[in-house]
Amino acid sequence: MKRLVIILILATVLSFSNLVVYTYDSMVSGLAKDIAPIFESLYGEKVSFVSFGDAGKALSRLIIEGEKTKADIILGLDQNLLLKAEKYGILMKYKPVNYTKIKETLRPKEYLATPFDYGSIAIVYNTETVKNPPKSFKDLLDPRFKRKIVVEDPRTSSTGLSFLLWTVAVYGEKFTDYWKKLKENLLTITSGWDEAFEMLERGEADIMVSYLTDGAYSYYYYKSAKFLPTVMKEGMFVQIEYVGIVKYTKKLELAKRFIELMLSDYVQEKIPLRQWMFPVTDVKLPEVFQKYVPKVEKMLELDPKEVSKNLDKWISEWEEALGM
Amino acid sequence: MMVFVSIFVIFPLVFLLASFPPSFEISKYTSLILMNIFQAAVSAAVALIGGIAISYFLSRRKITPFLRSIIHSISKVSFIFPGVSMALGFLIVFGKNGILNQILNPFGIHINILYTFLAVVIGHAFYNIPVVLYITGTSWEKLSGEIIEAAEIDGATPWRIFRSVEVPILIPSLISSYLMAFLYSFTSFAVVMTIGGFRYRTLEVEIYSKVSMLDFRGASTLTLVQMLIVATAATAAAILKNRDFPSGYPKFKEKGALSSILAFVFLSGILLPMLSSLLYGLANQNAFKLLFERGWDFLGMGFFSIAFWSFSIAIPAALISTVVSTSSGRASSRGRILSGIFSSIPTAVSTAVLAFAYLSVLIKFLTEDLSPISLVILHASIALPMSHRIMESGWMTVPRYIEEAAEIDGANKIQTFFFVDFPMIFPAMIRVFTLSIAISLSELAGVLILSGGKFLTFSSAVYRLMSSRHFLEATALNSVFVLIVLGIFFLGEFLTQIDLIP
Repeated sequence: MKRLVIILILATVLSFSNLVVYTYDSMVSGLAKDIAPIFESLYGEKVSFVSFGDAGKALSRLIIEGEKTKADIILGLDQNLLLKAEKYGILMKYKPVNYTKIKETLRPKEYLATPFDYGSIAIVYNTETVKNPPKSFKDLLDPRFKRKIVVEDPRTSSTGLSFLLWTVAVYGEKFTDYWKKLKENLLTITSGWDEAFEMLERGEADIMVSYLTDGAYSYYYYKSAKFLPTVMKEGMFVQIEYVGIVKYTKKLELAKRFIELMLSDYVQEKIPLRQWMFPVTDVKLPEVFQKYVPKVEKMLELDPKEVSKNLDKWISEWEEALGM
Repeated sequence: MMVFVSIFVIFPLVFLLASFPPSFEISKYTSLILMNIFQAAVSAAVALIGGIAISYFLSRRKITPFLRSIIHSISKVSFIFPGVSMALGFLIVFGKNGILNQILNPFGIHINILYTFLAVVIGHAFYNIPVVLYITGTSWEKLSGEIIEAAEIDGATPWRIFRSVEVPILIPSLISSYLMAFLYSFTSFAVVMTIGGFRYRTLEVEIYSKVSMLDFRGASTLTLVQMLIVATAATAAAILKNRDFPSGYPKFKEKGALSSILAFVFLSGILLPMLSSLLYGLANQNAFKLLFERGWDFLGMGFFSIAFWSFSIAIPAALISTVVSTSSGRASSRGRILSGIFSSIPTAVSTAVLAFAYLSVLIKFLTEDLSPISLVILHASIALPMSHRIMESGWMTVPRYIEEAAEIDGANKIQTFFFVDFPMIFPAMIRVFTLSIAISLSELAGVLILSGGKFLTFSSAVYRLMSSRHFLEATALNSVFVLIVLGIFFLGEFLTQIDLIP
């Protein structure tokens, strides 16, 4: 028994002797497969990607573990989760050597974390079951969509949080009234984007909160327009994803190299077809992006200071409106 | 037992409540709590009706011993059937493009019940019918035929006998089984996570969500509420279960089509999701191909790694559960009441709550990652109430005078145990060991809370695959998982037949 306990402890410790990256599900099965071999061949060190379902859960885990964490990098926080990470003080500031490669509008004032991709979230629908898609937030309340929409939980999912903020950007303080009405049309609320997309693909749900590039994804993989985004007349909402160094890392130099690698042309060129987001540097976009990602006329924004000040309040109001 | 439960159940819970004092502002949770109680009450009522129908059928209809043993086996298997696999079975059967809709669509009927109250009730009812069957079934079969014959002679109709004779006599075991079904539905995790949707969450799921969102105060508040409700129901069920009733020879009769039809419907309801869960992956070659092509990449670890972690946790947990319950079962069978009381304490605590308590201790005191060891202890603890009951019955078969005879012949305590007691309690120990392995392999909430995604067991791997766009891969892994659990269960059943008594 004693021996078994020692083996168990060793197995746990040894499995974390490489650079450890906390992230979300689809990253592990996607972009991570490109990053791991190139990182190993460049720096002679292995990199382990550990997924916790979605980005919010990965961040929560990091906060719970605090200085005992084995994580060196957290990958996939969006601008809103970054506020939470800042509040708990678990990231180390690092301005990448290659920061000038980042598009100017996306460059942060303080490099608490580095942006590596961005895109607009969107309402995505199944074209086989929804013939007349919603074109506005008001349309989403139509009774014909009763129990057909699935959204992500803003408390655990970065996509879900962006959608909540999108409704704040559209309706201001009255956003809870909108959610109370939307509740009737919700089939369910999932903890992450992957779970929601699984429901869309399996035909359980017809509409979900996803990304503007989903149409391009559909054409690329299925050569069909099964899942298409719809451009909302109130305006769209941008999500930026960041990679940050964990304050407690014992492999700082290696962690810095990981950040630089994320900004390299090699990784940035992979972003569109792996992440289905836009690269943050000026690399060439694949044809399917140029053809099938709809043009957006109006982008909505929220002042980060306002978000930082009100986020907890908005989430509690959302919980109350949904009875969560 | 007393030391184990005090250190690994009572201390962590006290520590949790002291570290994160529950807030008494429970008004924001009122609707959640009431909905949870209502859901469990309705689910248990439907399970009770189903259980009564089947047990009445078994006790009053002359059926072949083969069919009777099949029904008993189904009932036993449901006990150890993993929650996540049952949930996957419900998705396969009741989904929009599920088996039921594929059968009914040609007739113009389309069922769309997932994420509704009905789905949760159906899911829990079918999952809990075997619980009702287990508690009432044996009572019913043993109920004395003389009493029923006496009523028949007095001119009572079968319905009148059922209503005025059988039900009143069996009422304690009916209430006890209702309360157990209520408890399981009230603390349900995998089924609610998968087909419940946000409207019908249980406190168990909400505690898990609050812990993952770092709302420890909120989780602690819900923990206290859940413990109070669960402890009350568990105590009432335990008191009622041991009531005596007049027993004698069984009474069979040939008539009673209604009970046969109801029994058939409810048995199908139990079997269909179970069989679908087992066979869907096996029947779909593409599922295995995808699992090996993409599934492992997504999970970050392969089959052998998942098997390693599953059994590295399950085997030590089963060993601890067997050793502790062998000792406590002996004490209980020799009239020490405290052992029995302590063994039932884990019943009053749900798995998510205990995992949350362990997490609070781990965060505070330990610098190394001890989550695998904490899971071993967690799984041993949740298996204890059942293990204790089985071992107590096992020890009852050991006559005190044989031990005394061995002692008079000069055998010491160790010799007496190995040469006198062990051969007699061996079947009970094997049953406890294999059932504890099955319980550990099937457990999900604790693994999700404590493993933190750093390692996966079979149940958590299936859950992660099915909720992350790898549904087919999930069905393939699930088929293998269910086969492993069933294999262990039937191996245990086989080994208990071995007679070690010279």
